[in-house]
Amino acid sequence: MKLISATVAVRSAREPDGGVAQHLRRWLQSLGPLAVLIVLLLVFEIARHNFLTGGNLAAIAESAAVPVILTTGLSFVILLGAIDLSMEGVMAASSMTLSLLCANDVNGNHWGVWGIAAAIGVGLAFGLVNGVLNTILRMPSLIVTLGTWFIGLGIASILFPAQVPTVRDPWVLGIAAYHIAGLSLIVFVALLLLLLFHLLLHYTHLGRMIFAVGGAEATLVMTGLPVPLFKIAAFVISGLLAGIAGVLLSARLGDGNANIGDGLLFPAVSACVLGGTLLSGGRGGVLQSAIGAVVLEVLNNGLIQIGAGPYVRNIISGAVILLVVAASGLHLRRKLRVVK
Amino acid sequence: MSQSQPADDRTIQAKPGFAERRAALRRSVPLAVLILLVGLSAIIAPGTLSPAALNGFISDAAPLMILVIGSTIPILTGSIDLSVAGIASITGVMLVVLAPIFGPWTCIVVILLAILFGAFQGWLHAWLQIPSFITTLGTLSMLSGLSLLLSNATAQPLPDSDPIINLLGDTSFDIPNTGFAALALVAVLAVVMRYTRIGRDLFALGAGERAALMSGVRTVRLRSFAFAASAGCAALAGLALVSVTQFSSPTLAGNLLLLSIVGVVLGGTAISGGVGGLWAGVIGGLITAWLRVATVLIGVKPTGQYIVFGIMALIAVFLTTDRTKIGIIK
Repeated sequence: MKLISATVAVRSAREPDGGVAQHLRRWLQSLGPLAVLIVLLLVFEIARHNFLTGGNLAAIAESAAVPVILTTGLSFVILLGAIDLSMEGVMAASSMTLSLLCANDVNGNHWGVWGIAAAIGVGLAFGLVNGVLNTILRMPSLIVTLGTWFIGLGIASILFPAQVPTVRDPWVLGIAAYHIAGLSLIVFVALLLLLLFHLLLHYTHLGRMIFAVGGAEATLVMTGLPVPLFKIAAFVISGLLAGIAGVLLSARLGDGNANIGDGLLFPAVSACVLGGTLLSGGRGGVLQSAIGAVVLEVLNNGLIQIGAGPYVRNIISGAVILLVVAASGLHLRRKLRVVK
Repeated sequence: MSQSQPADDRTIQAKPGFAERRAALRRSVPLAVLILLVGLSAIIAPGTLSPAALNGFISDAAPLMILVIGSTIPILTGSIDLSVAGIASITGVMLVVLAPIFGPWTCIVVILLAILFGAFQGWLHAWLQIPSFITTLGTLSMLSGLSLLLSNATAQPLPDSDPIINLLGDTSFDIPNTGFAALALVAVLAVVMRYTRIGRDLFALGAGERAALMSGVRTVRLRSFAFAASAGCAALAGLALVSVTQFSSPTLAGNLLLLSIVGVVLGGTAISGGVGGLWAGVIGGLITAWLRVATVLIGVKPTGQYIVFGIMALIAVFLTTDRTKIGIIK
């Protein structure tokens, strides 16, 4: 933690407007998203009166589970200051892998739990490729992951058989069908992963190094630490969690689908930024990002309940992210600052 | 960094150094790849060079080439515009929605709206100093939501009396008019890039932003121009697309996002900015369009083409990125 506070101290020393404004901003960044969440819940409750019922909250939890997993993985990459756009492709590839290896109605495979492992392994492999291309071959993560995004979609559509493969494996279907206290196992998996990666980020060497890479990569390189390894690890975590998300979504849908991740990338990036994980890296965390994801799902659920169509969601989350990114970077504006 | 100023290369050529040779290589390799591709596919399937097949190629390639040329301009400044496919998609939808209001002028209005929108997002990115990828990813999300909302997620027939769409969908001398539209666009942009200050400023901005700023380049205004040009090209590409299908669909150009970026990098324009140009965009667009033909010839499923293009993009970026300029690679 010392290293983080050092980089934060360097940052705040550079910024001329210290004092009250600084404290206010820090406070807003840490508690703001939670306050937004509470305000949204109250606003929708006042507008609809049946918003804060158990059934609706369970529905929000179900819909937020996969986005939370995705933002958890993505946060690791964003904390580096890099970006991972490949999740939609990774989810497509992992979903097709799962539905073709587990018991299904297209071929005779019956890998059971190993099919789940293989699908998650696909995600892991994608993350590894992203990380290696970014660190060893020194290519910008933006373009690397844009490429692997479409490679994932391509692999999924090549694997796609003549008809939609329906999953028949009781293990896989059980993930979505088995409920505890009104919530499916997907929600509990999401919570477990969130906790696990929160601990990894804050209580291990790797986690601290990921913060440090985002804060001052050049300095860290000079210390002789294996920086590329930390970066690859972050990409692998992101790919791994996208692979798991692909499995969970297939379990919920009951079939393999190349379009399974469509439209999930942008809300995930928005959620990270909304929760206070800065795109410039070094600040934030998986819990903050998860709050961002829940805020977006509450917004989505509330908008549908007050009668806005499903497409309004894209428009609103687009506008929200532009506003939040603009607001969170406003104090950094300098005449000579280069932003590409 | 002399490879970033193609205009000066002729004077230096007396004593070619490493950088100059690399720049020459960068310019000639994409062209060689294009010739090789065309040659190979002509050997595999001689029919690909028949007039009918070439006309099919032109109407397939023209929208893509226009899109690639548009995307090249922000990338030259070191930014990236991910919203081009969204703009191309919404163009057809807007055409249907606005036709009752503007009648025969609808196309012009739609293009002007796109240019205004592009200028606005360029200004937003430059003035608020938001990274361009997140700005345009945000507007991409908004545009795709808006086009689904406006069209109720259905494909609609175009108003059949629109003069510009009919002109674009027609042929002259048996060649699709969209090909001529692409040529005209290249000519206009070539004049702007070669003979106006804007062109030189774009390269300066991409090669070294701080230096450019200190030398009086108005960066915010220039970025607005770059994104306006890219959005204008995207709208034109959208018109060319719907002129072929005669239907507007809210997800018409969804798969063109990757292709437009692939086209830019295959032409030799570096994602790091300052290197490349209009010519690279033209060649890159042609290579990408021809690759689409070639992959079908080899027997790759149309959906599997994503793999080919993804890998091509990665290879091209690996070869063209100027790592010394980026420093720390994020």
